[in-house]
Parts: sequence; C-alpha cells; structure tokens
Amino acid sequence: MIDISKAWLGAVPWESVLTLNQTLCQAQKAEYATNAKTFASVGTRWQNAVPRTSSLVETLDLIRECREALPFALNNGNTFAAIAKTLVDDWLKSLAPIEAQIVRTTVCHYVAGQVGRKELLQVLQHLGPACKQPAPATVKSTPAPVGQVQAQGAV
Amino acid sequence: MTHSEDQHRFLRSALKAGLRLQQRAGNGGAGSESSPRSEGVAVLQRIKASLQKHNRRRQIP
Repeated sequence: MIDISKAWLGAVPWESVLTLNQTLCQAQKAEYATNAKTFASVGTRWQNAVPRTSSLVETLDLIRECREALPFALNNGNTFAAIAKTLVDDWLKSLAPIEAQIVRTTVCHYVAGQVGRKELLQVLQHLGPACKQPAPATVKSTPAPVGQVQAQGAV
Repeated sequence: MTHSEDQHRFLRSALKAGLRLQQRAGNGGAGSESSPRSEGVAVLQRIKASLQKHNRRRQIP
C-alpha cells in the first residue's frame, strides 16, 4: 500500500472538501466560515493535486499541510482527518480489524498533527504489505468458464 | 462507476467518518483543533503494544 502510486485524491475535488466542512459545521450548529488568508491558496493547491499521481505518504503529507494551513474557521482537523481515513478505508478491508484500526488511527492522527512521519512510516511499512488492492465496487462476480482458473484477487 | 459516482461515494463515506470523529469524546478526538498531545501519546502506546503482540504471534510457528 505504501508504494502504490495513483491519483489518491481523484474522487475528492475541492468542492467535496468544502461540502464536508460545511456539513460538519452544520452538525455542530456552528456557522461555516473560511480563513481569508489561506482558503484560496489551499484550494488551488488541493485542486492541482486532484489529478496528480503520487504515493500514499505524499498524499497524506499534502492533506496534513492543508490542515495546518487552516483554510476553514472550524473543523479543519475533522475535515482533513475524515478524508485521509476514507482514502485508506478500502485498502484496509483485507487486514484484521485491530490492524486496520491501527492504520486508520495513525493516518487520522498524522493528518491532525499528533503523530510524526516516522511513526506513520513504521506503521504503514509494518502493516501495509498485508493490504490487498480492493476490487472495484462495480465488479460483478461471474462464474468462471469451465476449465478456467478464477483469479483469487490481486496480491 | 463514473467519476461523479466515485465522488459521491467518497463524500458520503467521508461525511460519516467526519461526523464520527466529531462525536468522539465531544470533539476531543483526532480531528479536533485543540486535542491534547497526551492523547496522541496514548494512541501511540496502544499501537506499540498491538504491534508487539502482532510480532509475538508471528514468531510462534
């Protein structure tokens, strides 16, 4: 997982980040507001990163830096940690629940600035190799033709 | 699955995750703006203990 290079933010345009923060503010009955100093630059940086291919750690670095820039008035940590957690969720289904929780918690805490890069790399390097590439959500299982071996998932 | 469906699916999951983070410990969870450092240390200690357990289990033939 740690070595996989892909467009991790491909499904997360900047508008989704805004919607997420707005919803979290709404849930708290707090007024949604942005930080005029950093909002535009973080938005541009994020949007530029959406189609770009990068490693998971590079992507998490970007998310952490965006969180540190505090583009929103409230819920910066919850917004960016939720995105990071969702990014890795599909990849953790092949892990034991406790191990998946370790990766999830570490990723969230890394983005929130409570865990260092060293700890993140240690956890990902230790548990990452056990993660298997998730099957696309729309793939329907079809019976294999007689005499043909069915693939047992990517390794 | 189209690009837009991917975005909706991701946003739905992220919203659930964000709301859960928000609810956890009355906003004292990972995502909050002012989480105490000690919580991060406690999580690291739990992770370390879990990894040690994992390694011990691996060594047993």
